[in-house]
Amino acid sequence: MKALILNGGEDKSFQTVEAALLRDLEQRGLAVTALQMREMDIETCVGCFGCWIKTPGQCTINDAGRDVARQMITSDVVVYLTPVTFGGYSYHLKKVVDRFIPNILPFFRFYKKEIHHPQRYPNRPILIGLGILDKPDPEQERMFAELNLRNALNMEPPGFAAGVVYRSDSKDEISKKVVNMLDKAEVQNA
Amino acid sequence: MPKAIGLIGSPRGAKSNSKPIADYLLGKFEGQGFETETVLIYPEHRKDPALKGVIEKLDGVDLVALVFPLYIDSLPARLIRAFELIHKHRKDRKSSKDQRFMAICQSGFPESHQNLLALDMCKCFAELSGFRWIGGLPIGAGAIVGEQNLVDAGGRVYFIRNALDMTAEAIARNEEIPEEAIVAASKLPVPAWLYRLIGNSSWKQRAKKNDLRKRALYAKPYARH
Ligand SMILES: Cc1cc2nc3c(=O)[nH]c(=O)nc-3n(C[C@H](O)[C@H](O)[C@H](O)COP(=O)(O)O)c2cc1C
Repeated sequence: MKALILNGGEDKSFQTVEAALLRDLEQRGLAVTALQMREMDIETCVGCFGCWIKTPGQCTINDAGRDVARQMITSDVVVYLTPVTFGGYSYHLKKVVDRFIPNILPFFRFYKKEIHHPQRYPNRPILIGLGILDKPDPEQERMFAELNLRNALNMEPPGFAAGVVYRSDSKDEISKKVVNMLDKAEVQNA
Repeated sequence: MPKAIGLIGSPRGAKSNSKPIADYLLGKFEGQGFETETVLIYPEHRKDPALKGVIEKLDGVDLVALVFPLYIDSLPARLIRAFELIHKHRKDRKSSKDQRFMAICQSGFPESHQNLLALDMCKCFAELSGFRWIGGLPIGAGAIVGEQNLVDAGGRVYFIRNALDMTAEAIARNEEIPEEAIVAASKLPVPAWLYRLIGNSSWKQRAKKNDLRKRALYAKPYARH
């Protein structure tokens, strides 16, 4: 069982949270890879839909973004670790999130009373959104949770959860929140 | 003369569904005496240093109309980058200038409500960056624009023109985007089931142009073994 942490932080200040995640995922028997998105030179999606109608399942841009899309879909758990940015993901995280669409199909179908795309793969990762905020911000926290929920409608993960930690949280508080989130997303012991 | 900027957040730049929507709205603003300018985030401003010019331009503007496509339930990555850098530049800035900010989010799926969260994000950005948020329009089925001028596109985009007309009139009165405009923008010219049928056949046709049959579209290059 594999877990992938996509760290969308602008600097190294997320190391404590990343370390807590790493520890808890490893304790559940998962092999964890953490990628620092800010260090990866990845082009942003150009919106060509080539990944659906030219080279189905693969982005037409040949850079590390392709490999991250592959790593995401072949993992059992994917964690979006990000500063909560206007209620959503940071640029560094979003540049790879947008490059995920090769992993779904172009067609439209009804799913939970809305139109969505069908999935390309039967096995998909659990999706966890872990946001970091300077201080409590109920509106941004609501948006962040809703984003995780809407992403789940599009990606149909076997489990999903979102949560927020504050920069002022102690190590213990962070650990507790991380454990709760992994439990909520039903990350089982491997 | 007051100045309005149409900010295009589509990675497809000038050849997008976002651009004609902005063009139509800016045309209305010109009729109201605004000096207008269109700024494309892509491809001109794809790298951080290039965004500096955009950031400075926004310092002097009276009205910003952002138009962008929904990307995975939120904003395209480079637009988020632009937001991050604009916010960083403006957050401690003291200015008494009244700067209005509105946004239009259009999407591939037909249900306009799928765009509301992305518009909330724009509101959050605008308010944290010293703009006055005046509202957002959610447009489902943006593909219906077909990258075409909204007047030439005729009846199929009447609901969009109607929403933009009401929006422009409200802006002329210095009011927020009215509920009627939001309702108009949310209207679909075809039912969702028909949109789905048309959409599915259009993907097949586009693939055919690349010599790909329907079955090939289901390829699984990253299947687990
Ligand atoms: C990477 C990517 C992600 C997208 N995500 C969504 C989505 O979550 N929901 C949706 O309805 N449409 C989504 N779309 C479709 C676009 O919003 C739609 O095609 C839009 O009309 C494109 O506008 P543009 O021509 O201005 O770029 C996505 C498209 C791309 C390329």
